[in-house]
Amino acid sequence: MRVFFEPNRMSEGKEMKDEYIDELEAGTHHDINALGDLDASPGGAGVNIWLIVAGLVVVGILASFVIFDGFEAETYFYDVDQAVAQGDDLVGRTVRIKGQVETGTVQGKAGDLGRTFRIAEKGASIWVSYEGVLPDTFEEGVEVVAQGTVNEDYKLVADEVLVKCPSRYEGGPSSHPDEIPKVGPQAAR
Amino acid sequence: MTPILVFIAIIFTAMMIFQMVRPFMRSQQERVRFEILDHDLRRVGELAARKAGLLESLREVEFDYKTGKLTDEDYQAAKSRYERATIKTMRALDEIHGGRGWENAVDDELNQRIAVMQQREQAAHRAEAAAHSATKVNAEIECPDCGKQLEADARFCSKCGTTLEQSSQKSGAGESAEPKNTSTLTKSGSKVTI
Amino acid sequence: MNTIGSFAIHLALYISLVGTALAFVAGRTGSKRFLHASRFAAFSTFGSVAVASSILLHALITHDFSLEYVVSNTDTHMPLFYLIGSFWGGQAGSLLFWISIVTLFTSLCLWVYRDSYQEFMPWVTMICLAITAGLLIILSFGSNPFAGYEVIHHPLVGNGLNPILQSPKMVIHPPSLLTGLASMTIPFAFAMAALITGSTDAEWVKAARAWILVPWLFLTAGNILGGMWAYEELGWGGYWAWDPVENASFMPWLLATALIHSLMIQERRGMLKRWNVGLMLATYILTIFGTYITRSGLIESVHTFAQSAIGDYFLVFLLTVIAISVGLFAWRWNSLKSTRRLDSVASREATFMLNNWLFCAMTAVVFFGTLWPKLKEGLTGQEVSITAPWFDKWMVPLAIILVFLMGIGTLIAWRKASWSHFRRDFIGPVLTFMLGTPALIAAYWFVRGKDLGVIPSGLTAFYAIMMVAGCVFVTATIVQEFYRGIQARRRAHDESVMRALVMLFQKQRRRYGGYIVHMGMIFAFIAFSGNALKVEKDVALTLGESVQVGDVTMTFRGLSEENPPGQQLIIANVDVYRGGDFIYQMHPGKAKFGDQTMMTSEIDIKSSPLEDVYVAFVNASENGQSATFKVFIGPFTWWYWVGMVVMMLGAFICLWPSREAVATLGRSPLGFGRYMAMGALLAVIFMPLAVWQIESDTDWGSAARWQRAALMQREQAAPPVENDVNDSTEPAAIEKSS
Repeated sequence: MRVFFEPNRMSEGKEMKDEYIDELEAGTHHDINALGDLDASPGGAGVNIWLIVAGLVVVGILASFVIFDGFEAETYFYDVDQAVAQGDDLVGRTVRIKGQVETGTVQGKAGDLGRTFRIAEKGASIWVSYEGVLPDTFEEGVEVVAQGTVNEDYKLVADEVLVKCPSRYEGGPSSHPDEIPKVGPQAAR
Repeated sequence: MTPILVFIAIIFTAMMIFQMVRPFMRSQQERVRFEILDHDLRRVGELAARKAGLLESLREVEFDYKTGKLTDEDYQAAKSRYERATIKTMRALDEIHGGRGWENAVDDELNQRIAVMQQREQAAHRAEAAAHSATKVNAEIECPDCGKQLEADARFCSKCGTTLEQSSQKSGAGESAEPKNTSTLTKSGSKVTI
Repeated sequence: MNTIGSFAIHLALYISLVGTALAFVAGRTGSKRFLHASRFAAFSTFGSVAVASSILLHALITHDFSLEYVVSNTDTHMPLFYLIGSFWGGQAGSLLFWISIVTLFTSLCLWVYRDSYQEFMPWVTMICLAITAGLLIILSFGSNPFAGYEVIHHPLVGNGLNPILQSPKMVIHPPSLLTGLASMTIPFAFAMAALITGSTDAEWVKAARAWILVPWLFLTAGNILGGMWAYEELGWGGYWAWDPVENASFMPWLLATALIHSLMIQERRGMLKRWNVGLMLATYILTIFGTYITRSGLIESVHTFAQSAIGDYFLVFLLTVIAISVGLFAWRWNSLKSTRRLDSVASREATFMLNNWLFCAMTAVVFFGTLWPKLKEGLTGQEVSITAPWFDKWMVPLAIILVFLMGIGTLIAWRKASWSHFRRDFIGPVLTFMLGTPALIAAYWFVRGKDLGVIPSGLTAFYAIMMVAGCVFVTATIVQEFYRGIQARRRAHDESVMRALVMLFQKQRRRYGGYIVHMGMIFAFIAFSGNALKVEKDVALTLGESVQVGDVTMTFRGLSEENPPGQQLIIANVDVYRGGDFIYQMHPGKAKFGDQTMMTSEIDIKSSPLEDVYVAFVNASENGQSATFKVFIGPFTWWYWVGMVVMMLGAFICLWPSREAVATLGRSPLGFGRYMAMGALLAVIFMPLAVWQIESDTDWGSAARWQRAALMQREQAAPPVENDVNDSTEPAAIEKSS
């Protein structure tokens, strides 16, 4: 049996609580945890329907902020040919481009950091420059994924270069971060 | 090392499976015992848990007040309610416990009930046997007191002299006011149906 | 042996289905026989699963290559520790591990509550067994660990485990996380039982409060250990990348944390009933969802297993769980109405409600960021990714609000906080953080911070300062709470300060254990705020050349090479100076073991409370005259690991049964045994931190340990590995075993 409290009726509330204790004695009441009811006084501000509506509107607005910002933060993934097909739209965008390192295009001073090279896929190609340390699996002919911003010279200024190499184990993803092979754990099936 | 693990696990599983089917293999008597005992055990458990919960709440209220999170008024109100509820619960517990002899009390009750049931069963069996034998021409019946074999239509025993009731009445003795498979515990007043 | 293993799994499936039916009957009729039978059905399921698990373990340890699982995940050279770890290294084994944990916890719960919660237990049993059955179906038909080996490929040696995974943390991180996710089943079952019985009171809350701390504990440890592994092994210098699978186990953690706090309100005041049921269901659904996206290969990440049909099985399972739980919730929506109203916005109840909203918001952000790329790809075919900066952008401000709420929630009064109460309670912590934050930040800046050479952007600096402010605020509130508590005790009893402190923990276990957990969380937040000043630099050095990175100067001193049989080890030696003084030498390295095609990198990290110096060796020129490195200086990273340890400690304090609780279980407090158990637990909790510090301060954490190992190997005779001799006598063709 549930006990309902009426607002601002202290004395009545008191009686109801004694009833509750009698129920306890008789063993018919199961509500161990509504014992919180015992030390509560009845009443309190009700929740207005308009308050709920206002709250939902606020939540909706915040959510749309987050979501639209998410759309803007999308980093598109392209193969080189898809990227180049974008034409001038590509300039200024942060993207990820996958392609094969063309032989003979890797430029840079030995012993220095920073390399410039060209990656190609399906006939299209694009220049990439990277100031950091390239993974030691990086060499001509391997497939890489470069993430960065395309500048006005239509060169991808990369923040990150990952080298894809054939995975040893069935089904593992095959992209690597800069120098550590990033292969998934053993796949059983 | 691992083969031992495997072995232990297999033995454990077998034991558990056995326990799983056992309740369905028990005789009716054992089942009665099972259901009744469990019911009162449950009551005790519930009350004990309630008591522990109340005590914990009391402590928390105390502490909240001491560290300034409850007003005086709220504290007094809450404290008295909790205390009274705890005392009632403890009293209820004591009643069931019956001064720590509760398990014996339940056992006594059980034995009583089982004895009554057994008597009724025997009576029913005899009634059946009597009804069965009454339909045969040369059937015989037993004297309920001394067990001497008598003729089906005998009115009293030739050995001890007890008056024999009619077989039709005997079969009626199987039914009683209470259906066979309920019983009422005197102490707690709860009805248990098997 | 293996046929028994397969049989055991099928037997477990059968028993769990029978048990589900038994429990259902028990729930509907109240029959004790059926209840008893269903309870033992659960125990039998556990036993059966235990049989299967021990057989798999046996097969792994004895290199039984007739099982495909053993072939794929082990090889003859793996040490015992990693062989055990390979149990959960693959798809099927980790699923079997999951099921073992579910059945173990189900049995524990049913045994502990064998005399109580009688109204609930049939339903709890039914739900747990139903879930077990579902998982066993997936295991038997989707990914059987006892599948025989079909294709002949290195059958005698095994494919072995990717060397990058052969690190102790990698062995501990999965089971911790899996345990956390699997044991979430129990409180979920209680919530479902409450919905099924239509129980309008909060009995399920009492049980849930006890049983949700365990999954929470393991989730916390598992997530942070995963971070420790990533930091140490993957070489990108961080410990959290907002990787989809990281997020998948983070979301249940967020909601579980919210739930733990929200349950408190329902227990004391009977409010937030719908919130609690909703949070519990959502936590569990996210748990299954996380498993689904990890195992189905839906999302590519470090963690993906192979694409397989198992994804579809999990999808069906997930949809079933969602349908049934949401359906039940909707059905019982009205009966969960709270009988209390919110008295004031300035109250503990309101603060906790805001807390719930905040955690939900954080979960929603992570959910969107993780799922949207996949959704877009599914809809438009265009592959996109949402990277870490976006997550940080939204999560950081939310986290800052959370920290402040942590402090406010601790202090604020029930029902309605008055102005006088605010003055008395809040003045101390507020003053502390307003004065202390600038003082601390200035102190750090002038002692070390400015040397790092990083000037964070305005927004980053602002966030970092606010985060520190929040941490100071919360620390002050916790200190104040302890102080008030000790005072209260001393007024009531004649106790020394130490004794009062100990008694606080004994008598108010959940409260003070909770404060300890909060302290751990604060340490983690300190670590996060340190990222504002993080330094990352790629350097190329010739022999003897130095470079300044952050506050240290590094000088390349040359390479050392070791070539023990079957291995190629290259160790770089780098001297590190700070302010002109030599502090230590670091030894990052690279190695190739056996017939691996790729080199694994051993990163050297020197970790101290103020900062981590992290050096990864990338490559070197042929003559060893020059080398390139990736260097990170990470302020306060150390505090993240300390935070994990402290949080685990706090959770254990909360979980530790009080004398009363142990007595109601029907046994006496264990005395000496208890202290032994406590000691063992403490050792386990502190172990990750101890290992971390040892690895940092000695050679054990760097490539230099190879030198020592190589030295030892050279001193010993080098016999061929024994197993090879035995293996060569086995036939090359291995028949598929059923």
